[in-house]
Amino acid sequence: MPAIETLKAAALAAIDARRQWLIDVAQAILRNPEPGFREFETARLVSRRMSELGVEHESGIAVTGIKGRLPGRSPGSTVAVIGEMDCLRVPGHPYADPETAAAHACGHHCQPASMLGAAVGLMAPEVASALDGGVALMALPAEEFIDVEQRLALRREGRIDLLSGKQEFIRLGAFDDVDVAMMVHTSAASADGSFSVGGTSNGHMVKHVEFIGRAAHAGSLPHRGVNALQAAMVALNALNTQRETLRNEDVVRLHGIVTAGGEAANSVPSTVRYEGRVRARTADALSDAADKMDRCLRAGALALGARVRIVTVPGYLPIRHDRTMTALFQANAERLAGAGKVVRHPWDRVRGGSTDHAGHPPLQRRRPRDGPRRRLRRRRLRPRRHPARQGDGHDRHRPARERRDRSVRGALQEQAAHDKGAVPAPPVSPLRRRAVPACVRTGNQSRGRLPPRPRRGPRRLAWPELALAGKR
Amino acid sequence: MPKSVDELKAAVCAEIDLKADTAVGVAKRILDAPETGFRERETAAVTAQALRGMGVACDEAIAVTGVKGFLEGGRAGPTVAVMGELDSLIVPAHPHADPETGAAHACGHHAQIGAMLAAAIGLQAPGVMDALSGRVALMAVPAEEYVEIEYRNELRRAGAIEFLGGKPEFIRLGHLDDVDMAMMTHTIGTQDDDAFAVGGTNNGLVAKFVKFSGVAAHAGAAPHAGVNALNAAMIALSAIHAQRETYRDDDTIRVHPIITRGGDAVNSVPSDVRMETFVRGRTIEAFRAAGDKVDRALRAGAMAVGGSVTITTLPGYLPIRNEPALTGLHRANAASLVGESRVVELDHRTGSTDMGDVSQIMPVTHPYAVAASGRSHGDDYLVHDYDLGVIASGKAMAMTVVDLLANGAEKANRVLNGFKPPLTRSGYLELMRGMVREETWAE
Repeated sequence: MPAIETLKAAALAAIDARRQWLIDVAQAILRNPEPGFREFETARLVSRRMSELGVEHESGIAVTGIKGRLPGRSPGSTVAVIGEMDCLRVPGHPYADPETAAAHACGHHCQPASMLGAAVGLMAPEVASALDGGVALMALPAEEFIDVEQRLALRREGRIDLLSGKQEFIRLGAFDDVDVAMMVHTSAASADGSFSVGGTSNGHMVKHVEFIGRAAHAGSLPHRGVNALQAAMVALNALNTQRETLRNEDVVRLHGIVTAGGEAANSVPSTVRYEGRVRARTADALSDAADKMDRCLRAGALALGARVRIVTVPGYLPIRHDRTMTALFQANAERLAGAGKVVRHPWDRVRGGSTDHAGHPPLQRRRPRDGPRRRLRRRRLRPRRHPARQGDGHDRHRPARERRDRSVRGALQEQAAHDKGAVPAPPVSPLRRRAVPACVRTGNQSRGRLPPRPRRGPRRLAWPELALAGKR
Repeated sequence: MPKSVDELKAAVCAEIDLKADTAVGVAKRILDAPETGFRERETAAVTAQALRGMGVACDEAIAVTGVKGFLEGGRAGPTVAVMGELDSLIVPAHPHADPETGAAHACGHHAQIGAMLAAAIGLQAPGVMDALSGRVALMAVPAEEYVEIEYRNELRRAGAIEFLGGKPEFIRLGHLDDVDMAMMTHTIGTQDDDAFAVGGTNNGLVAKFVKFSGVAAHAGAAPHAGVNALNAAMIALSAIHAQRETYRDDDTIRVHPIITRGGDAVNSVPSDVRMETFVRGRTIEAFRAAGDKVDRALRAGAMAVGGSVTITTLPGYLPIRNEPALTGLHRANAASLVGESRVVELDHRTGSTDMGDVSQIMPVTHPYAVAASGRSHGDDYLVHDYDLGVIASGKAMAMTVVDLLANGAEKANRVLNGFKPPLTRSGYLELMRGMVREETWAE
């Protein structure tokens, strides 16, 4: 049986032989950007290339997703290699679609290509015949949590249930036969090096908000109208006053866009929609910040005598990297890029963003009884370092007691300690308790006291009730 | 030998001219000792002393500081009140401000007491009251300016008053039950050559005393543990402004809050922030509806930060209605003194007065004497023409009393017969009490 080094060399040679073929895939996707759950052309391309390689695969999972399989020589664990297919909307991006503003401003076009690259390497004959278990090759839709309104429409049509690709793959069981998963995301050039691994991400929650007022002629009958835009303005001003109550270490982000701001300038705006996003590093902080956003939205409606409907859509959970896998990846990346060219971020480092790669067992060994939603480990909070020093890969500015061995071996040791129970078992995340919440609040209108604060639990409606409640 | 109306008026005016210094002297004395509403003890004492000096017995300490006396006519008949207001404003930069309290007569009320005394002097000219049928009530009324709400609210809690204005208190206490109609003359400043401005209407108002409660915490170390009551107030103010487009021009709504407490220390999250505001409007319905919009904005501020708000709503003043016949009599007398061209008719005004409350239950006229310069309620508001603000004003009121009560009070009775009061006294009290609300809204 060939040594692991021999297998790796064969895989690399196979990939290098298809270098231009792979880059062409990435560039073809770049030129045809498609946002989430609409990656039809992208999926067709990926499917054609898989067929070209001879990979058996299934298409149309979660609207546009693809799952292929490379069987090993004998049964064993299945490792998924994932590429995301969707793009963002960024008008002004040089490769933006002039009509829809769709653009690969997050580099996902490289991901299906790198996934195919891994397939090419693993299909080299000597490699394929030496591995036990299988490899799942997955092209996933809709990582960017955007176009919420359109996705809610897809949901009403029954074509999706959850609003992101990996969430849907989990729901549909497409991850049930997968034991571990990995993917590589591109990042902008920085002093970080050629690869960066580790860290974590914010969890997030989406607020799909509609202020409902009453239209009237803005010139002649403003007293007969109820201005939904003023309600939104009061709400957003109120939201900004909450920022001083957010703890730096919670890395909370409260942001959003107004997706409908009035019907006509000479009419009192009666419908104003806001797509809000709440991000935070822990489930508790996320819940606290989301409550603050809610009460501000309700206050805006209350102040103007309008109503507000808040649909809370579960976003992504904070990502948790499996330390063993990360260490293995880091070692391989260092071989390719050079030892100093791979940065491993502290496990609790958050930069503010979120990903649905955190919504399934990400880079983690699978523990079947736990189900797909992993226990979130609540780490002892540590102050973030000065932004200028973030990610510099050096420990010299930190107190000695906080220094950790961030070598591969150190990571392996940490993981082993954790697995042995040296680190206390993490509490169950409140996020998990919420199951998959959707919350519809319609509001105010009571006299004598503030509108009742929706309580967690009974007042939160489950998904199936969403459509009904939304019609109130 | 009964005198004619013109002879009576001539006697009245001659008497006022003769004793002009007395009336003007009292006005100037009050100017230099300004006292705010329900604190006008010195002002009331000076007024009562002046009345007694001319032989008028009077009651004092009505509604804390009010004064009331009567001039009896030769025969029975209706009672006409001639009023003056005792209280000052608070304008610390005013040249006649009290250096300690900041109280200042920046609205010219001191001239009103002078004018009321001048009218009393004139009506006491020999033979005048004997020729009239009915009585004249001379009233010095406290607290027309609706200020120091927190202090007055304490008086209210202590049971010293129920309403926060002097005339509503006079009504409540029954001190207008023996009065059939009322008049007073307010000074006003303008650039024009006008001497008197009569008629018109005024906004009514409700007052709100607002307390936002939050949670104090170190503003640097633990802002997340605090609930910022100042932010609640800021959101509420923004929300109040966001409603303005919903006010009809006709309703002349005015909402103008102030913050009376804005936090205790800059390094502590403010937990106790207080506001006062008026909500004014042309009709009772309009200012009450606008008041509801202000309430929801205040509640929104508290809701947004997760704090609470206590809103105390107190009745303010009702819109004034100048009774046309009474106003016409006064106007004619004023014109006879200063010339027809120097008397103008007023339109709607967006300030408020508690004479509005009186106007809801009896015929009232509330003319203005253009005897001042500067901005009303400003630090440059000065009564410069005492001949007009005290002497001519007093003459015009006394002459109007003569018109009303001469010839068996024929004209007074005609005014009364043609007047249908919008509110009864009990209806008035019910309306006012219905506006009192104290509510705490919390998440």
